[in-house]
Amino acid sequence: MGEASGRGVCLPRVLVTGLGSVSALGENTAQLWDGLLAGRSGIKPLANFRREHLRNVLAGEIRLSAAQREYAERHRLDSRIALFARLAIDEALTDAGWTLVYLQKKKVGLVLGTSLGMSLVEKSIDQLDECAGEQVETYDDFAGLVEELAEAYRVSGEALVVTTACAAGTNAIGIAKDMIRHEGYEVVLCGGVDTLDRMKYLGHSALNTLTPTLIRPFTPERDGTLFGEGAGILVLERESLAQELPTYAACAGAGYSCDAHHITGPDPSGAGAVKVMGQALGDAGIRPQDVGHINLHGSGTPLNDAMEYAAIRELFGSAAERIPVSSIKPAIGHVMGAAGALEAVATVLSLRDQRVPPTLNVAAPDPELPLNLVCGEARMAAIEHALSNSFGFGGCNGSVVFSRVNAEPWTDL
Amino acid sequence: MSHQSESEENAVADKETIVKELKEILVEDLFVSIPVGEIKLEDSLSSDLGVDSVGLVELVTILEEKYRIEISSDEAASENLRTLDRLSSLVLAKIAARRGEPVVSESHG
Amino acid sequence: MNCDILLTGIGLLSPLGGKESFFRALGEGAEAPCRTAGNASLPPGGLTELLGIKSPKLQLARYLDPLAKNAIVALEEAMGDAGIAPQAVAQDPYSFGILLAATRGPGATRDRAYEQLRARQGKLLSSTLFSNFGYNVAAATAAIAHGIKGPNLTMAGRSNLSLLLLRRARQLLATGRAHTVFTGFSESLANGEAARPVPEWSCIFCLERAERARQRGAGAGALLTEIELESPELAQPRPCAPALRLPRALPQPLSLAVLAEAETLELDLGDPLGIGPEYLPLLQAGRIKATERLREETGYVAFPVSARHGLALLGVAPA
Repeated sequence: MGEASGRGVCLPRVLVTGLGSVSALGENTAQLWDGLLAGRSGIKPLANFRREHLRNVLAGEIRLSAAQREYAERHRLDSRIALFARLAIDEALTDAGWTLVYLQKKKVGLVLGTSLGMSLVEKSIDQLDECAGEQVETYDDFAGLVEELAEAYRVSGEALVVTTACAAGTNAIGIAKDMIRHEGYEVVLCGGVDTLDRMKYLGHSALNTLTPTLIRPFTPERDGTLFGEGAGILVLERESLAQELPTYAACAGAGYSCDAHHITGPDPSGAGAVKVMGQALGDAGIRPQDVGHINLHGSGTPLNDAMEYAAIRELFGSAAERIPVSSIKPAIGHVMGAAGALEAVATVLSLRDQRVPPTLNVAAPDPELPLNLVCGEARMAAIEHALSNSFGFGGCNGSVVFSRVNAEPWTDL
Repeated sequence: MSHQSESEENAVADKETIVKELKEILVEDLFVSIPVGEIKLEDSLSSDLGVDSVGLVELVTILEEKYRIEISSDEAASENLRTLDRLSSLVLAKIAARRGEPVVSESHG
Repeated sequence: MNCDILLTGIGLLSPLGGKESFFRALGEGAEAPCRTAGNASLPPGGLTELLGIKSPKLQLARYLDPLAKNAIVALEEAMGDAGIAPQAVAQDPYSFGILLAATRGPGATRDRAYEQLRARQGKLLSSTLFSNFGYNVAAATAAIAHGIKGPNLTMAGRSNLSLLLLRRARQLLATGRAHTVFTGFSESLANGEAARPVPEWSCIFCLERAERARQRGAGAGALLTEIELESPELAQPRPCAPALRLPRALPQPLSLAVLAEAETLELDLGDPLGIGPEYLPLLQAGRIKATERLREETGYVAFPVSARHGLALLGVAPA
């Protein structure tokens, strides 16, 4: 049932039993996954805020549907970030077969990642222009968001928001996993949520992180990223609980590191990335050659992709050219604090379906970065263990490993 | 930093004025911690003034906006941005080109 | 998780000064200096300027948010207090981590950027300032300043966040992801208002795996433990608050303050050591019941957190 730790104590496995997603590709996980496998793009011209003075007007924006608006009204939600989070949590809990009546009897936690959330604009469902001019009161809104969600879902244990920029979603999942494995938690709702607004796009325009065209990861023409919004939620459970309902995967390992290099740019040597991936693999008890798929951070910036390649090359050696890898950022945008979570959802589904979605906008991969980049069409692959990476501003790094539920952990005999 | 009016089109653009304005931009917009009066023409933007690659991008954007010129990424990556002296010469040349004037290469006074 | 964790060092930066002057001022009921119209003697700027702190590490970038500066300084003090030399970090940077609470984030930087944006007619947001908008800026900057490359996490949450961070740090240490984690906060309570004490604080604890601390010859630290609550409604005692057990009993026991789950306490800065009696009625009413373990042992230090003042105060259990 569990795995033996070094001290002979049996630690429980952590299983993914439910998924919830809101993204530029759709209102739920099925729409996200269908879209990713079909090679569809959710990138579209901005409609939720003004476009002047922006380096690019394309984004993985969500245009609220009637159903989403009705949900916001019904639950009296006045903030877009709370809307996305709750839609995704609702879907994930239903998917996992939990009702609140039963959930509140368990030791439950909530760990969500976000980057800036709605801290730069007035709270709203969809008025997302820059603040009118006076001091914005929403700087410390995360505490309010956490309270709201913890109450709505009757979370009796800890409720936290992780704010490690683009690595937040991945970090949140790692923390949640360890809460179950080591602290006696039974269920932890985890993932990430983030929203687009004009201030973020103004900022990234100034920083030149935005491509003037499209995200083209791991190509010679790559010149920046585009941002998206939404939420990704995973229900993690202690194995003894997850009985009759089908389980997606095991959440097997997580890693954390910091480049300690520059406030926005990654350490080009990839040392921090090597460390974080290695730590996740070690935590999962697997070797680099056991990895069947990597969901890349793949943001399409010149610096990230070169660094990510260097790190994968160093850690995986010759396997680097064999393992099918992909980035879903060209399809839904870089969803900032939710990126790690939505990418984890995609990674889990890759494991379930043994298929890797294509990386969009790649005519020919960069020969300087020779990875087995899946592009054009989705590809079947034999995947026992999959790795997802996130490298954030500030040099905060996160990696997480998911394994097929019946995969045998590799042991040193 | 305020934007200048249309009369800026006809304002004198000489080296001294440009250098003064560049120093102000460095201190006010790029948070260079050296006082305006102590910044020297030969100062290296990166090693003396602490303007890193992100700062250079920002500096170029501000200059393009303020003087209505364009600086290509090749030009930005080259020796043109090494010192305050070279940078001000580049800006001067670009303004002159925009106005169709011959370049004034030496400062007076 | 079975892993002894010790608190071996503390760094503190506050409007009342560093560690020693802060606690002395609390005991005396002193007020922090206020920057009012009549008080021109205070230097402009944030806390590091107010306290005249000039560490070379504060020159590491053209621009630093005050919270980042304060975190750099508080972490340096915690490291020094714990007797950890910079060379020890340089030799093994991935074994040291940083975990900070940030509920408000770099408000001063954002305010400045907005002001500048307005002056530029909404056209060009400063990329230097935008780079420093993130909530993880204090932790990331402190990592750059000190070369710390292990787990780097920043979290927001409810008002007992500083307490919860001790548990998150314990998780990182017990799972072996780091052997030392600098845990705490760097926060501001308001943005740049003139007629107040400078509203910035940073407090960082150095937490280590006990075996690591012993191995490097560190002095006796305080052991991180957990206060448990018993109640007729609970099937088994429930962990309610992280606590620290001091290495020896205090000569004069003071009254006990126990944090009950999500309750926050309004504490009067003028009388911090007398917070116990307010909680006796709760104990007497059976709403909180100390466990056997708590009643018998000495030297427990509980960390209630004041929502109003955003800081952790200490109370000590009686013998």
